Amino acid sequence: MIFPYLPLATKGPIPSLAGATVRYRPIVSTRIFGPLGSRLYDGCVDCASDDTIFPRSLAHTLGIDLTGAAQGIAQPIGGLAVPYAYAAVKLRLTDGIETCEWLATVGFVDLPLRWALLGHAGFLDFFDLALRGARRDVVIIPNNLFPGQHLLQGPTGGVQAAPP
Amino acid sequence: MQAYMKNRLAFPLEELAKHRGEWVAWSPDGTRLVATSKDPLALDDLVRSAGEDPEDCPIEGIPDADCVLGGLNVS
Repeated sequence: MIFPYLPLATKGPIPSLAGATVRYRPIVSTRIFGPLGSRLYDGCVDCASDDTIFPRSLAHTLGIDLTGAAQGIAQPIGGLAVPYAYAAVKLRLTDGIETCEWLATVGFVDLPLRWALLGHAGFLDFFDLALRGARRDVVIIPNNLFPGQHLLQGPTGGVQAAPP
Repeated sequence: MQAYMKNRLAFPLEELAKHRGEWVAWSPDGTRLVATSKDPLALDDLVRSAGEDPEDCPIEGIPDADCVLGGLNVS
């Protein structure tokens, strides 16, 4: 699967980008499922994140019960420790040609995240990735740890299982 | 999703920049913003009010800061 980096304009020139006024980031829309439905939520490919994290508000919307859930704690850069609750969910990633769907244990943090964090556990561990800066895209290929379904869109529009 | 990604990339950046600090819900084809809000919890109702299904509209937060360091940054 190939996803283009998403551009966002900055307020001013960025010195580290030779004065450019656009940031490009490896952000991909990931569908997360719960008992009450699903949502497509943008997530940032984040190899500095040990876990895959979504905002807790999303768990509420999707009916994901976090009562008594196992807890994790993160220490953001320069910030206070942030607790989050784990839950098992179904995730789906597609570029419209390939689709991957799997069960993952992810965290839900009570912060208004701009993007989900697509970290190692639950996401990156299951894929081989290439961040192609010059092309401004990210290639995401399920690896042999991927625990779910990998489907391909056929030439006539049908869906078939991808070869292993 | 192919159409969404193509259209999302072509969306005017200056228009998107007006929504810094907000959450936006995209139309399923990525050609327009269905709803925007400073409160992510308000987005579902706004999307429904606009006649769209929240399950079909990708959600994205637009950072207010020019630089994001670390994923738990919420600026």
